[in-house]
Amino acid sequence: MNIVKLSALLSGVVLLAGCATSGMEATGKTEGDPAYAKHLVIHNEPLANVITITDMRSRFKGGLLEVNIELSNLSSSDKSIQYRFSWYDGDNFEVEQGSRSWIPVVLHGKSSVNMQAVAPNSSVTTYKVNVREL
Amino acid sequence: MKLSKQSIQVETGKRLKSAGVLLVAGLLSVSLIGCSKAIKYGDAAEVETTTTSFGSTDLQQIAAKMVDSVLTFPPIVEITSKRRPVMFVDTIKNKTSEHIDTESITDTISSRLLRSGKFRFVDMTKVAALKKQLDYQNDSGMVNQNTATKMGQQIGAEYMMYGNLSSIVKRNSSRKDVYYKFTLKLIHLQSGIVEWSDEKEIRKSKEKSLFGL
Repeated sequence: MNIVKLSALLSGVVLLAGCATSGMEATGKTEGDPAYAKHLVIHNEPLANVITITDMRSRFKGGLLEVNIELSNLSSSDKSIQYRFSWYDGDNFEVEQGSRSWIPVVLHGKSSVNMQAVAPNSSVTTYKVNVREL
Repeated sequence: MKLSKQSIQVETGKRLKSAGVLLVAGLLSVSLIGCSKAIKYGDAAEVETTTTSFGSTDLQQIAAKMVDSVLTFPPIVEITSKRRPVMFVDTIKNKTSEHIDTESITDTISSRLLRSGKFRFVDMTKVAALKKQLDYQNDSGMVNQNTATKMGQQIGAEYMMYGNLSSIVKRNSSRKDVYYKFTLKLIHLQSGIVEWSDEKEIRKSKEKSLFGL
């Protein structure tokens, strides 16, 4: 392999490694709400092909909304992902905006992980979780 | 005026020298402009992986885990369902080899607990300032006693929060591995019973790159 081909290959690898991907977004209402619904908005097809939200549960504990989301890795390779919860009140205003940071987590191949979080206060009725690849 | 050959050479040399100085100055200024860094604001919630040292993401992860844990622990849920207990935060012992502002971690945890509406806090770092103000109001003769805040009316804390942060650092020629463990406890002052405790573990590692950079 000549130097030109090698450098082209290396720059391709660097570009791929450096590419930050966006993620998927899931929102859900609390189970007490008659309009309970959960849906998944996928912004990134390649990511959604290998990482998927397999379960979303929520409950009230001590007046605070507690959420558990199961994320599964369909591929056999480990995936480094980040997730972030955001919280909304009954009027769909974000509660404690910016208080939650992105949490890094390693999702091992063919395994799942539970992302758990508790609402910052009792005014929260809805949540949103964003997941993206590192 | 007739100039000698020697004086022409000296004059030419001076001009060349000043031109050289100008060129160097020009290149220097260009290089300085080229090196100047653009300042921009970043997202404080982003994951920070600059080094393996304790960073903002570690602080945020610890605070989130501890707050979620204390707010959902069944005995604490039961206690806070009827009233808002008063607590104070003792120091978090830093047992790592790094300089870490542990007060910043407890500040975040206590702020979130307070804002959850489940707990109230007394700030032991401000006792001296409170005493000074109460002395002024009650003893200085300057304040109308009908409006003065009375002494001896403060509410005593029922719980104390304390803990420690420790680390294990391992390294070899190609890899550095840092393990942090943050432990937080809540003790009932009257009975001395530890009502709640939890830990948060964080592992960070750094591999040397292909070219050893």
